[in-house]
Amino acid sequence: MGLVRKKPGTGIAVPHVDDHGMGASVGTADALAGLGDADPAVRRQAAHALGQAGDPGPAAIAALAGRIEGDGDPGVREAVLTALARIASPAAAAALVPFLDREDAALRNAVLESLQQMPAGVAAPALLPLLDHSDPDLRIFAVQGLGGLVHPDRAAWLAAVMEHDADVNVGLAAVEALAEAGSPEALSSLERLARRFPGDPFVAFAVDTARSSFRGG
Amino acid sequence: MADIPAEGLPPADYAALCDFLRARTGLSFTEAKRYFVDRRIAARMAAVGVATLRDYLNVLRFQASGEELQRLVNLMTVNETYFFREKYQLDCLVRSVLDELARNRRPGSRLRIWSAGCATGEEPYSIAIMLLEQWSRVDEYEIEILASDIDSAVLERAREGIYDERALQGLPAHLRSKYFQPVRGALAADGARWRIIEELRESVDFSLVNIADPRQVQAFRGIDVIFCRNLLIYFDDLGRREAAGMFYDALAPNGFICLGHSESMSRMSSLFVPRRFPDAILYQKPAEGGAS
Repeated sequence: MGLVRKKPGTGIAVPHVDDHGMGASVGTADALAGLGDADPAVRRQAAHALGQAGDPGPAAIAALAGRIEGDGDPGVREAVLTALARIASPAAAAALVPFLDREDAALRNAVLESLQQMPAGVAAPALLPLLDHSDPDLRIFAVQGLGGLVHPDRAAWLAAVMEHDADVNVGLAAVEALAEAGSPEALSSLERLARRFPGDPFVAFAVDTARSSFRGG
Repeated sequence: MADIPAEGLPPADYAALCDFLRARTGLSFTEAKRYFVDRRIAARMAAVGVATLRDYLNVLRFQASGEELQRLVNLMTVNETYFFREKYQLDCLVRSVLDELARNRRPGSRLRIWSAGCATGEEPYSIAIMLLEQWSRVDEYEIEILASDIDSAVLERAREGIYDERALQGLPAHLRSKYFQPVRGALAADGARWRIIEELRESVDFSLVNIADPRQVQAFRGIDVIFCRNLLIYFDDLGRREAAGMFYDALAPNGFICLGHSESMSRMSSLFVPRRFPDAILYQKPAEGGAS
């Protein structure tokens, strides 16, 4: 025993991939069927395959989204979320948004991360409508999601939240998102937030901190 | 003549090229890597004899053999490494991890270790040496060492097992004399070289694998420990997350993954549990289900 010495002609059999593409060998129909397999490894493989299939169509996106909460295996859930992030179509982004209102914080975070891993031009249109949602928690998640995108309008979206959102916590989420990236052009919006909530010591603290970070000190 | 302006590829062309490479290989290049990418693309376009990037991309996409894509990948990956690099992680393997894995295994059963992104072979051979030298139970188990890389040229060198002084600098003298033989003749013309002994060369199973391709990674299953150090730095966030999913599938329940010292699994995936050992932090696949 000890180290296994390989013999000629033995060893791990890695398939040669003639077309150097990925995921092409599993058809969408097979992958869709695989999503319902009893073996979680097969379901994960099916999700990977759908994620690599470009845009696999509305039925596949619905099937993937259905697995997010319907599958008890965390590995499958992660594979599904990763697949939707890779598909990155408007439909895939839209399929993720409803999960932002769930109680499961780990799920919410994973969904938010998946949206942020899509191109900003796809994720933003899915998140922006949430800024007008009646639930301030959802508005906070939208702010967090938008705050993580690389998009030329990002600072403007967050500035608008600071200037207009009625809920102080939503405004503070925007301050936090802006402070992380340092967006000096939003300084005036920051001052306005401080004036809108003059009696709130945490707003004063957060605005001061962000102001210092914008000014580099 | 390759038609690349002195200032490099136009932004749209550069983006198209990076998108292609990301989709086919998982390798992610940003604008910050332009100096690195532009020079290599120009060299390959000249070698192939195409004038525009569009023509070159067509070669990459449609060449049946995939040879040109492989050549480009070989140029685009950096393979600087040496024996016993980040040795504290190898210490962790032989002082903690293997004992824990062996606790529930009958003597005679198999343990599988995979060095993913092995470059010229220093890592898997270092693992082999550490096992032979420092794991007292090495003869009680069948230990299989697998090693893979996306770069076919470095794999050839890994199989050959010939190293220069720089690669061996971290190796104690007694291990050098025990596991290496001096190379004489033309191969040593540019400086001293040593070849790793045949027994160790036969103990590592090298294969060409693109870890961004699920079909290829599917060949790796039931792995107990994966070393994937300083490989995922070439991937973007989503690529890293996908790779983490691949490793999750490859690992046996309770298997471990070891990343480079600057890398953190918690920033890639929630599927693994961090495990703090006296020598290092590794990430473990839970026995049933995931970590989240």
